[in-house]
Amino acid sequence: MLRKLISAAATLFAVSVLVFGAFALIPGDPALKKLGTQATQESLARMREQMGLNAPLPVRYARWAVHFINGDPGTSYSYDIPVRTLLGDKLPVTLALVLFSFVLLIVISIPLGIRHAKYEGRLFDRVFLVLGQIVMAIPPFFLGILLTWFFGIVLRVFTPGGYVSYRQDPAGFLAYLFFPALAIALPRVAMTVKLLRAEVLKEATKDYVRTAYSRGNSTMSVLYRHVLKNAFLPVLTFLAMNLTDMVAGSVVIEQVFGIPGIGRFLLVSILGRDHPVVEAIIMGLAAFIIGVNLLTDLCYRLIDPRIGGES
Amino acid sequence: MRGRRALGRALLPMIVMSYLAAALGGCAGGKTADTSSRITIGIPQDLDSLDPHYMTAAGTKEVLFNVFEGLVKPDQSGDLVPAVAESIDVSEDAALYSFTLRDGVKFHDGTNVTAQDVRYSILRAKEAGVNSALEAVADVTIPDEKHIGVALSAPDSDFLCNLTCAVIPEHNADPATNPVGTGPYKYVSRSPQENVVLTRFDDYWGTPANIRDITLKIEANADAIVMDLEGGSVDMFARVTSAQKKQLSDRFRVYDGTMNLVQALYLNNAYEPFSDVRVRRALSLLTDKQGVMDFVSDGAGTPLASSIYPAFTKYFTEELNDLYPLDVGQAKALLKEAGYDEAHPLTFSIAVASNYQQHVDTAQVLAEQYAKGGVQVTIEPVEWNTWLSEVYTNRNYQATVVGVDASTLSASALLSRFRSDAGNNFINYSNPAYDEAYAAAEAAVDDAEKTAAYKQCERILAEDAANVYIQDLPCFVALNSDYDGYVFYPLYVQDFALLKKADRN
Repeated sequence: MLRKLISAAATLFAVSVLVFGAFALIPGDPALKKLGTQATQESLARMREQMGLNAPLPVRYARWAVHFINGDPGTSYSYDIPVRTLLGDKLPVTLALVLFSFVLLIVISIPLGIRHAKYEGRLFDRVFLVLGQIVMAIPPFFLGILLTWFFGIVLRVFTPGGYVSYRQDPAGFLAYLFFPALAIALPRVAMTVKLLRAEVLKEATKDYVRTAYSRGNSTMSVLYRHVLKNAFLPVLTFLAMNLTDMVAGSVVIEQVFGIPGIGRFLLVSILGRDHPVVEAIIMGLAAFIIGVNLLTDLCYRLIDPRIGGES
Repeated sequence: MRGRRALGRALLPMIVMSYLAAALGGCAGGKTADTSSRITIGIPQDLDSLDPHYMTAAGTKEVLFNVFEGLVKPDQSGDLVPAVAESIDVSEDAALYSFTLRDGVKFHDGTNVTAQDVRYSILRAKEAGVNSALEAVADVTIPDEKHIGVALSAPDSDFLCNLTCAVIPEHNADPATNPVGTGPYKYVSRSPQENVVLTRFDDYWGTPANIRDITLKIEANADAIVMDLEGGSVDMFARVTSAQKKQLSDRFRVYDGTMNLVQALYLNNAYEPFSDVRVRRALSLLTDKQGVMDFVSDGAGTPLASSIYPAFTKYFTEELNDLYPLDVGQAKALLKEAGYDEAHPLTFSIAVASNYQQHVDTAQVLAEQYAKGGVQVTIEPVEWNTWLSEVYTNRNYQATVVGVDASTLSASALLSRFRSDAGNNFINYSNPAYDEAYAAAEAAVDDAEKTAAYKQCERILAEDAANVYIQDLPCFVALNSDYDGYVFYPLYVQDFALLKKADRN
């Protein structure tokens, strides 16, 4: 476990250096961006000094890193607001979106996957396999546009772009997140169902299943109580991979549905050369992905005690 | 509304969902909100600053026009009219501008505007260094509580336009997060990348605004604008494209105007081929402006031949458009003279900011038009900040398509940059005749003389084909027909105070 933590820290360090380096390479002057094309040379020079842009790259990196480790990611260039306040306000939005889609993913795909396995080769199975194949082929952003058009414009179930802040109206906020979350979840539902179906079918031929039946269990109870436990391990890895993937997917979906979350901020801040914000978001994302991977490891051990012990 | 609450329970399987949706569709579809005193206006990007002396984006200035005012401000025809000041007196030599302050002008926090506040504001804006023109302010004097004098280091009869600079209270400790002005709307709150909320200022000195509450909603995704308008989450958007205009239903009225900018293929005159006037002229002869307008915005737009757009009625010379009619034969002859033919074709690249679709489209049309004259063009899309630093500041490019706007309606706003020593002369234009004409315009105190000299500058740029001038782009403003009263200004200004609920009887 210790080794895993060290490698996690090393990864974070590498990520931070990469992001810092990338910003040094791409053209674009944050001071010019802030003061505009009519600015005087003196004020530009003053702004660069104030932003600390005149120092050599390693010095700038060291300065940033020291602050960051001490819990101060700096102040946003574009908003003159501390990054913590800025992102602290937006983090719940993206977290809610990702968790919502993850819940949708699990709630829809597990029953559906098992049902598929149960009705293998029958009409239900075939129809949904084809449907799933289609959904998988649609990129989430396009699915988002389709959902907006159909439910927003044609059926008018929700107001496209009618996002409300979670501070203003938590229920309305969650309601608005339903379709974006669905757009993120659906393609993954299709994949999860396919995987779960295959795993369940593989397990179903094993001896313990026959034993379970012989003890008088119903099909459903065998599938949920016995088969699912064994079939779930590969699916769990897949779901964990998906969780990290969904965070990435939320960047795009936030754009499509006009949700002002972390993803929107990442895009805007890169375009606006707002280094402190970009650094903070990327570090956060990296930490999240590493964290999820560590957690997945832990979950393995919980589900199957035979795993672990070494490390 | 009820449709939403049903969704709040969520987590129902898809099929049930769509059934519910169909059942509740009717209720949710009806207009529920009272629109009499509130409007949601979509803006394409978040405000770059709330501090009026530090804001630089045209998109920020045009909406905060409603919150901040200077001693003077532009009216609907672009003329400067007194705002915080009541009257203006310019000294004979145009080096001292004296103002009498208007009685009873209040800041949004309820305090009265004092001469001290005005002095503080002008000096603070100068110190900020965002508008370099304010460098000319030598001193701001307060002869008495009702008067203020702005002394310039050198005479300048065009300086008044810079005194639109916002008047803010000296006692406000944090203008960046708590903006206080004197305009018809006051700031309420902001959520970055989400919205900015304004409300009517009831103690406004002038004609009060009609609509009480305004939400400026940031529409970061250009593809969602039509859906947001149709869905009802946005009532107005000031920059729809001609394609979006066609998609809008009749619940929207689209106002046609112009963007008030000079769109051109700006040529880096220091790049060797473009230092030859024959090459520049050949490109102008190869350009079919109508063809560009047809492709980019279905024929809308106003052709231009120099760095003056039609809102500058005093200077705009339409005849210049006849200088370079489409003539491929003559263009080829000129290019041959300059040493370019089929064996040695002229090749160059156009850098274009990829976030401006109109400019990207224009560059593509130009590339095809130039191919007919044997000119090979490559298009190099760059992201906006790269464009700013590489093209605009470092002048490291060959040609670029962009629109140049004016912050004021004085000709100098568009023409000063082409002086050979101008710091913002991003095309590296250098022509002694132009410098001379411009100096004459600057020195002239007599208005007719000044106008004539500026017109001479305009003509030189056209004849010398300094750039390949194309058009003043059309601007389409979509407004939900529940409202009306939208008015175009000849500058980057959105006057929300004039918007009102439409009469339905």
